[in-house]
Amino acid sequence: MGRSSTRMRISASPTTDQGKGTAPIAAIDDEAGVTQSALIVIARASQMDKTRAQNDAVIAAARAGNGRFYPIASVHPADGADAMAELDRMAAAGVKVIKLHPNTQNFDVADPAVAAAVQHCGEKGLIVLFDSYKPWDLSEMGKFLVLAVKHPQTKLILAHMGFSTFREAIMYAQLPKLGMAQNVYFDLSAIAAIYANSPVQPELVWTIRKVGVDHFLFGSDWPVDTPAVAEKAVRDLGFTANEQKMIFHDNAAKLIGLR
Amino acid sequence: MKRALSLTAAALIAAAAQADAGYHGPIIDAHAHIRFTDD
Repeated sequence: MGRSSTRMRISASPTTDQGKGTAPIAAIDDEAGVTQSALIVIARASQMDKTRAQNDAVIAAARAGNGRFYPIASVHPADGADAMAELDRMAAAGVKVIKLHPNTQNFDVADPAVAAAVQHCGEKGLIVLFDSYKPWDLSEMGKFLVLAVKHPQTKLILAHMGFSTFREAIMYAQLPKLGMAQNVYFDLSAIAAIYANSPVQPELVWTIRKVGVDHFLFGSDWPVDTPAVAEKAVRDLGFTANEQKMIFHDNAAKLIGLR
Repeated sequence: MKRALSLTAAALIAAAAQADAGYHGPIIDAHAHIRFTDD
């Protein structure tokens, strides 16, 4: 599998003291009124024992939360057959979402190994949550589009909505008219916090409404932002109460099969 | 007349309050990272 040509990464590893386990997340969720939260892990390449252990840990942590959390497991596409077997194991364990992070995991979205993993996820009913911002690959949003069109069975969530490249998301308002790319969703982590109350806000909100508010989920990107900060940012975007209901709860509940 | 105006004002205030109310039900955070070790 080819790696990104740059040595630079924007890692999802926390820079803040986020603590360990679910207790710190429960505390900040309570402050923000968050009633259910994803627990995301990210796999490293060529460390399958660690990948399996980490996935087991996130499943156990979610189960111990009695419905307060749900697990988002991970594999590294470069791990090939081992990654596919782990996806099978995750699906059998009831996991609904798999996280892939092109920056932290250092892969190119156009790599055939990524396509294979995305295809396999779709066959197993697994949604793929991608980080969707790589400033040194400005065609990345186009690469996600190719994945979405070539693997229509797989539902994709593009975290951060492409961040500063969010204008590219408007293609998801147009292509569904042609029967394509109806399998793409977005979360508003990072992007809402950065653009709320900015000159860009009206265009962001217009784009979200044009694509369809039913395709957008609330996300904090903790530990980058707290749930309280992220929630206030989404509220500041000025959506109606019904639109907020969709973003804060209903869309995720329906897409992921949560209560 | 005075009563009609007051009813209209009350309706407007109620509508404004509803518009500002926003959503206050359950919230799902679909993007939060958990850490288990110091790695």
